[in-house]
Amino acid sequence: MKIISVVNQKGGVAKTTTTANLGASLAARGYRTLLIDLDPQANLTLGLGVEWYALKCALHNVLLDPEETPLASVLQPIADLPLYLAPGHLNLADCEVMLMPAADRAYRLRNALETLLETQRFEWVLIDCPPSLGTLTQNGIVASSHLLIPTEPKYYAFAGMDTLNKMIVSLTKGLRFKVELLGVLITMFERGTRLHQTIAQEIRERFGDKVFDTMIYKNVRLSESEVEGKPIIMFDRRASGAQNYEALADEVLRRAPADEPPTLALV
Amino acid sequence: MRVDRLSSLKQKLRRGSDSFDFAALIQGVSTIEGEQPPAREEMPVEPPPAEPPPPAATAPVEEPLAPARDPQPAVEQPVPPAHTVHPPEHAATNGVQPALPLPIEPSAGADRLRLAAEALVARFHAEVRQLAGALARDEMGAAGLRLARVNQTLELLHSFDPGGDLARQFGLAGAPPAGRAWPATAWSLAELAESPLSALLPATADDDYARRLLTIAWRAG
Repeated sequence: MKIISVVNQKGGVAKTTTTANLGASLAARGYRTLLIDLDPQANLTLGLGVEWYALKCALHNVLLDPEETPLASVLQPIADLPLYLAPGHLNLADCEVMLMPAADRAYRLRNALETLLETQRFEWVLIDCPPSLGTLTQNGIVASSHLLIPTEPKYYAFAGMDTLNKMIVSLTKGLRFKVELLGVLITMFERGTRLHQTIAQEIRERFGDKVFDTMIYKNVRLSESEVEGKPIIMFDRRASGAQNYEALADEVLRRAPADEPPTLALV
Repeated sequence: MRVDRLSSLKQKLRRGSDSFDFAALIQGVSTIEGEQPPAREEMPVEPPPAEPPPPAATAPVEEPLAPARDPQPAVEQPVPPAHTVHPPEHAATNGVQPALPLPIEPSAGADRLRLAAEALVARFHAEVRQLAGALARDEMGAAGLRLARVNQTLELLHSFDPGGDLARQFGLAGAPPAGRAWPATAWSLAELAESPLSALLPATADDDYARRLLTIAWRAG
C-alpha cells in the first residue's frame, strides 16, 4: 500500500485535478483507492460531486476528535469504481489553530489512516494537500510514503520546490517520518509553447529521472469534468486529459509497483 | 522566440535553479531509526517519536484509536450452512499455496478439464462483477443472490483445482496470481471478513450489513 501526498505550496498547479484523476485511473485498474481532501477549499470533494457543506462529518472531525469520528465513518464511495473519498470541509481551516497545542498535531492523519487500515484494505491512498506549508500539509507529508509534486512549467517552479525542500528539512528536526519523492509532474503544459518546453527541459535536467515522463497538457475537458463532478475518465475517456492521467497511472505503477495485485483482479 | 532570447532565458533559468536546494526532495528523508521502517501495515498505531516535537509539548502521542470495525467481531457467528465446503489446505485465502505444476497430458480428458476450468473461471469472475455492481447500487437482494453464486462457483473450483494451479497452467485469464489459491467461500461473517470479497463491501458496511447479505445468500444457496 502506497500513500502519496500531492503537494506544492503554490496554488493552481493542478494538485486537486491530479489527485482526483490519478486516483480514478488507479481505481479503474482494480486498485482500491482512497482520496483524502486535506484542503479547506474542499475542491477535490466538490469536484467529485460531494457537497461538503451538506455533510454532518468530514475530515476536520477526524483530525480534531478521531475517537469520536474515525476516518472510516466519513468515507464516501465515488462512482462505480473502487474509489473512496475522505471529504474535506471549510472547517479544516480551524484545524491549523485548534491543533496547535496538541503534541501529536502532525500525526493525526497518520494515526487515523493506520486505524482505518486495520480493518479496510486500500492499495493506494492519495492526499490532496492545501497550498500552504502549515499543519495540514505536515499531516499529509508525515502520513505519506511518497510525494508527488505537480508544477506548472513556470519560472517560479524552482523557487516553490526549494521552499518545499526547506519545509521537509525543517520537519526532520522534530517529526518521525519517512518519505521519498515519487516524482515531479509537469502540468498545464502547452504544446507548441517554446517557453514551456525550455522550462520543462530545465526541470528535467535538475531533477533527472525524478520527473515523470508523462506530462499533463492543458485540456478544457479536465475543467469541465470537475463541473460535472466526475473524474475525467468517467466524463470523457477519449479526451487528451483522460489519456494523460491514464498514462500517469501506468507510470506511477511502474515507479512504485503495488505491493499486491489489485483487489478486483484478485477475486 | 529568437535564439538569443532563448539562450538568455536558459541562462537565467539555470542561474535560478542553481541557487536553490532540492537535496532532501531528491534524496528522500527518513527520521525513523534503522535502515528500513517496517511496512506501514506492520507499524504500530501509536507512533513513538524518535525525538519529542520541538514545542514545549509534554503529552505523549495520542492513545491508540479504537478501530472503526472489529476485524474479528465478538458477536456470535452464524452457523454456516451444511453444504459449505472448506478443503482444509485452502481454508485461508491469503495462505501462500505452493504452485505445484501438474503434468497435463494432451488428451480428451485434459481438454474437458480445460473447458470446465475455463467455464468456471469465467463464471466466477462474472458473478464477482455482478456482486460488485449490486453492492455498489446498494441492491441487497441481488447482492445476496450473487454472493451465493460466487460461493457455489468457488466450491466447484475448489473441488478440482483448489490451489488454482490448473487455471494457471492452462494460462486462463483470471487465474489466481502465482502463490495464491482461489479464495475460500464466504458463508459466514468470519469467512467474509477474511475473504477478499469483503473489499467489495461499501466502506460504510458494518456487521449488520454483512449479516443481512449473508442471510440472503444462505436462502438463495
